[in-house]
Amino acid sequence: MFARARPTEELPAPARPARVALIVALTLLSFAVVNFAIGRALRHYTTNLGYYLIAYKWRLLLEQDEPASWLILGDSTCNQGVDPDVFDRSLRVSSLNLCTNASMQVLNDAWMLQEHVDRFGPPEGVVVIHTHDAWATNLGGGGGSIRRGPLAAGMAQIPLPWGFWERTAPGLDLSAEDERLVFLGRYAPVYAQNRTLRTWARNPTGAAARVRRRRFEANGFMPREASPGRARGDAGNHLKYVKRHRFRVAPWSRKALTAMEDLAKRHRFPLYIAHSPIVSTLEKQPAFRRYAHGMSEELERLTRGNEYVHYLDYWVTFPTKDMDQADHVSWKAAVKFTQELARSIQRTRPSEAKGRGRSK
Amino acid sequence: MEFNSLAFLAFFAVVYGVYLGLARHLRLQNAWLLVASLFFYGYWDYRFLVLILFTIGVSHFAARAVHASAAERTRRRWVAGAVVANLAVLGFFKYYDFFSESAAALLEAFGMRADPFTLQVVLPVGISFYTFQALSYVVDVKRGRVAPARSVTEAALFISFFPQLVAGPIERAQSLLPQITSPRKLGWNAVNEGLYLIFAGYFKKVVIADNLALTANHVFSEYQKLEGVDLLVGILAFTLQIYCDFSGYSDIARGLAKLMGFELMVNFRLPYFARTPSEFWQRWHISLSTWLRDYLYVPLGGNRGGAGKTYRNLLLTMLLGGLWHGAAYNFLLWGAYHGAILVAYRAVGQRVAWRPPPSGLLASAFGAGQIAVMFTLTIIGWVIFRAGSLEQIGAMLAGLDFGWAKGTGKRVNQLLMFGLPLFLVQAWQYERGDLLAAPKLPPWVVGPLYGCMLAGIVALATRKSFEFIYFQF
Repeated sequence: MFARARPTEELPAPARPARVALIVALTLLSFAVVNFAIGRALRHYTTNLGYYLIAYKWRLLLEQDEPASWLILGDSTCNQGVDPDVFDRSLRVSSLNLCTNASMQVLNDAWMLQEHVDRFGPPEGVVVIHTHDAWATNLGGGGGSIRRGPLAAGMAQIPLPWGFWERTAPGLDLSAEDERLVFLGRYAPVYAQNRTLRTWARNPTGAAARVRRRRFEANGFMPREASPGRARGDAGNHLKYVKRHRFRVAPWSRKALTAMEDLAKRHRFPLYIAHSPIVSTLEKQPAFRRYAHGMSEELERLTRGNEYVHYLDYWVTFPTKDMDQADHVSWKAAVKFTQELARSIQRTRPSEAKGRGRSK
Repeated sequence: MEFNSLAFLAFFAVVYGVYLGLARHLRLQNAWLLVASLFFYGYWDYRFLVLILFTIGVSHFAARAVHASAAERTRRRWVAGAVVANLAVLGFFKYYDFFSESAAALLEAFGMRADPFTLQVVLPVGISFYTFQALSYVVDVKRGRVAPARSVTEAALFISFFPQLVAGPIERAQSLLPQITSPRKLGWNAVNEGLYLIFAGYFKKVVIADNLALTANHVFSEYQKLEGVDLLVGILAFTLQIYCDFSGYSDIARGLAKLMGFELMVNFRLPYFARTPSEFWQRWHISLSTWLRDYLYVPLGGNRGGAGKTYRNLLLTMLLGGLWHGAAYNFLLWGAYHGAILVAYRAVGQRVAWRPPPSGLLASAFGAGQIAVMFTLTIIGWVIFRAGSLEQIGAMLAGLDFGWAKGTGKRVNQLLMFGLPLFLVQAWQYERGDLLAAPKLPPWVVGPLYGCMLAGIVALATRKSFEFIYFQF
């Protein structure tokens, strides 16, 4: 092909209207097909752990053959902190770890619980675990509308029909910008997951390794190894945060808690509110203790007066070597944290309830 | 307002809609395009409008005066006045600080202290492009190649036509002005070709150039810590980045113009397939290289005064071509380097009787070898162009070997991921001898191809996109 130098010209490309119309139509159609195919592929191969986590946990909830009797809800601290196997053995129940991450706030717990009740009936018990700032983070919109991109992006991963956030309690009035984010996240993965796609394009071996490393057990538990260095750094950030803030339950967290309390009361199942695990170096800090005291007071006040709601006001601490982040434990420490959680639940249960429940 | 922004897409949708609505009213169409072009330019910084309006005014009135005058001396004075006025604006905004600092440094070398009086002048986007276009207009009127525009609107639109305003192609009056003054016919051929150019241009810019920029930026900024294949990958990444960035812009500009019934000149013809430096300049930034040929090299005497003068003219032309790219020594050095290899090829070509194999495998291998040698020379040129110092040029070129470090594989993958498809497509275009080979494929191939390109553009865009490189010139 290089035998002789070739003059490279633009030779006219004749076209009739029908050809151009067909090309435009096929362009749009094939873009839609590619978008759809990428969306399907990303269900399994996204490198965005947060997106994967939310979609995975929701599918776990919606696709239960035999409904779990206990639900464990919350953020990433309990996603890798509560091992349902240990929980089930301790309490002789069957549970699912449906914890997602902090961007979903307490709202996601209320939505999951509502969905479970609607589809499978009320559970026998529910545990809600959040790190301290997840309770306190405000959605920012005030007056019923939210403008927080991460929550909207996370909501896009929830496999419920469009508009579910208006039909469930607490209902949300999304801003136009957030609706756009949810729409793009659900229906335009090519646009919304561009970071994942770029990672696959620029570093496929790294992306594949990231996908391979992601491991969930069938009950929703995500075991992680300890990462003391990261935990130390994260503890510093937490300390800065608690020094600057006084604990207050954010209005939307309060609404979500109220919705769950109402369900618990109506369907007569116990709802447990517990703290996340915490690295001992942080827990010893006077600033954290001051903050935690305020947290205890406010959560105690909010949960008081409903006999079905139990606030488990204690902290389980771990040395840095057992932590992945300041409030995220390794899988080994998760066993201890779960046992502690089960023991404290056991202490609150009436004697006849002990030993009841289905085992898997 | 960059082409790869949502603001531009919205802008073009509005402009194009109204433009089509005014299809039977040429004057209104031109007026609308002029308003749109000035808005497009002023969107960067409204103060830049003063400069472009000055260039338009000077060029238009000088061109009319040249045309109206019968006396050669008067005509020359008008041309000289327009050239001086336009170059003064360009020189001040583009080169003032550079020369001020250089003069201070020179005085300091002779033991005299002089603080450079720099003004930190902001470089108006595209000033080199539209200034050269305006200069060629006045000169061409003087040469009798084109009649001046009938109205200031037409002259203003010629100089400020938004698709090619900030990064070319640098159009000639005899090509673009008649398209402004006569009714334009929108044909389906042009739509077919325009769509291809737009998709190809955006893909080159947003997918290839912007992604390879990450690799190139890293290697050029961390060159002291890298060596071996990493340096080579960085240099190759920049080689592809600058081509895709600039030719992508030209493609988009030409595609948009075609949709509006305008035909702009081809600015790139697979430059990395060139076999000699002179062929390279017939394929790379053609609108600038032909401008330099017609308004600098030929007036200097071209190749009419013997070998010595030809070499001098080549070197001078390339030096000024380098300086056109910016006020920095590396651009001057890059121009000198290209001038030198042009001279070297010419000198050797005149003394050695080449007898390339006529056909067959040997001829192909010989041709491929010529391309490989020229490509190697080209990428050395890009190191000079991009590097911040002589030390960096030396270190990067001397550091090239087969050393493989941790992370090299990742960078090689990035280069192959974005560079290999480009090479395959261009090899196919080269083999066909047709830059528009793709839009001639059957619709059931072209449509899905565009669909995939669109998905690539949406998915692989770096979002906070890098500026088009050639806006700086």
